Amino acid sequence: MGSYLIKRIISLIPILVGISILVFTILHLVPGDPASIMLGTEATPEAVAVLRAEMGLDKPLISQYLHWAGGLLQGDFGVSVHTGEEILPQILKRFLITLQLTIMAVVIGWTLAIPFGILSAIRSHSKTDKVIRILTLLGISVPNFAIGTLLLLGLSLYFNWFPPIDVVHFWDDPAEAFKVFILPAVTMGIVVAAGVMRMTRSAFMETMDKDFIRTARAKGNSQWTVVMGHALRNSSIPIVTIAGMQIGYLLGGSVIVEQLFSIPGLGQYVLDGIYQRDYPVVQGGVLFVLVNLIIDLIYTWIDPRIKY
Amino acid sequence: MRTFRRRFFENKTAVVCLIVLLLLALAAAFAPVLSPYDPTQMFQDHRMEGSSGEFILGTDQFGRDIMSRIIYGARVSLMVGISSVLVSVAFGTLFGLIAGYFGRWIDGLVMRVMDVLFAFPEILLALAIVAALGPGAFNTILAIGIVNIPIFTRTVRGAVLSIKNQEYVESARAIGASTPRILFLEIFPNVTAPLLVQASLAISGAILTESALSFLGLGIQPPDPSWGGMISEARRYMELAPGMIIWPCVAMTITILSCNMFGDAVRDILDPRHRGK
Repeated sequence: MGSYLIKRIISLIPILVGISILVFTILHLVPGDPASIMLGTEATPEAVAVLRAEMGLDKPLISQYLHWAGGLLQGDFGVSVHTGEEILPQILKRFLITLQLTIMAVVIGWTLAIPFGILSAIRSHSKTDKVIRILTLLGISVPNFAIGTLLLLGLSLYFNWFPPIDVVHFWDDPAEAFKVFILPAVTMGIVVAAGVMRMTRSAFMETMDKDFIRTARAKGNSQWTVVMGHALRNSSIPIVTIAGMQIGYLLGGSVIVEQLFSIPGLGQYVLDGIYQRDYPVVQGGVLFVLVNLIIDLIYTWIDPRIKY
Repeated sequence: MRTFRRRFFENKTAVVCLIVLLLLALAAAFAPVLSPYDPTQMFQDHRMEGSSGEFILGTDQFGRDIMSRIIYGARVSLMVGISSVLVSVAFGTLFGLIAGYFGRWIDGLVMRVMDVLFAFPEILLALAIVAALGPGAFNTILAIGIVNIPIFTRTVRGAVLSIKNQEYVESARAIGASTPRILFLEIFPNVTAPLLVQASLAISGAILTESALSFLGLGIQPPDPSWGGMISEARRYMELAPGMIIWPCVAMTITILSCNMFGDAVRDILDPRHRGK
């Protein structure tokens, strides 16, 4: 098991290198020069050239990449072209916000999905099941920015309620933080719920067909004991797996929700970087999100039974 | 094929979704005939009006007819959705056939590259590519197309692995058929079923991604109408003219819902494990 894991982690290295090359090249193919963006439109060509040399932009692409990748390995993500700030501290600060949002979305999603998924499976093909499945399909089919916008619209129009503007951490003021994060978390939570619900339903339906469930029933156990005691535990692996995968994807998917609700998280940081052509920021931000995906990959590889 | 057709028409969901999708495609194709006005024409005296006989779904902040914009938006959504999936299917099939058929280091190389692409959340990679290429319809198609290549590569490769050692492939090899002939005439026709299911599900994903990119201002550029862009513009006026937001949302939901349900239904029909349940 130990050597297997080490092998897997080693096999991740080329993927990580590939990812960093991809991110680097994509953004360096772009016309438009960070140095002239930094200095503005009225800069003299000489000044731009000096700055280019200072930033290493006049060197060949390969040595630029090596310089950048070498910095990454030492925890140096570079500085923002626009503000001149160190990127890594910014990323960490914003990551905390995105993390809180993600956790809340997962909690909301799961609280909705598991009970309804179970209900839908044990009453399969009933009216309840149909209603739940239609709602799930809607959850998958309505884009999250549409859900978010409609939530904002409904609450402001009919209840005259707006989320607070300033972002507060949960550990500073839980009540205020709840108000800040609730709408975006519900928006993301609905998408989470739809995915987890589908998985819960199919995993449960498969388990309920198994012999040990029939045995458990034959022993005279109540429906509750059969479902909660026997079926739930045996269906949990695929459900837990999809949850692990979702956390990684939520961190990436928060781009839209953060933009929509003006939450200064990691997604918004990357997006602002794109709008302002601040490529060191985009590179750093995108890579950081990937670190979380790597954790998921490792997790999937730890359990060889889990495939996706 | 005949049993497929019969099962298809017995499945009410599949038929209803197909009809909805065909209607949408027709609406998109005949947008100039069907839409009451030009989607970019501004009626200065009719800004942000509600539904009326003159403007069935109302008008937006420039006095443009929302109904016409939604019909033209369908054009954009379907075009981007379908063409980007075609891009992914073309490349994904090619890579999948090669990786699955040749195996060994070629397989390893192709699949590691796919792992790299697959590691990105869809929207993030699409954003990065659009950021590099610049916004616009063509680049949006390209970005979404590239993002989805790994899914199709995996699907095709899996199917190839399961059939490449069957007798008809072997006999083709025995009579001296060339490798491209074996790949495209013997193997390819037998991987179309999983490809079809994956493609119909991917179209809805592609439409979602396009609308998200347009919503962020990096996809289709105004004044061209796109549903995501319309929702984004409408946010500023949502309390004054809720219709500006609600109608594009409804249009998107119907489209993506029918794509998803259609994909699910086709999978049920094709997959023997789901049959009869």
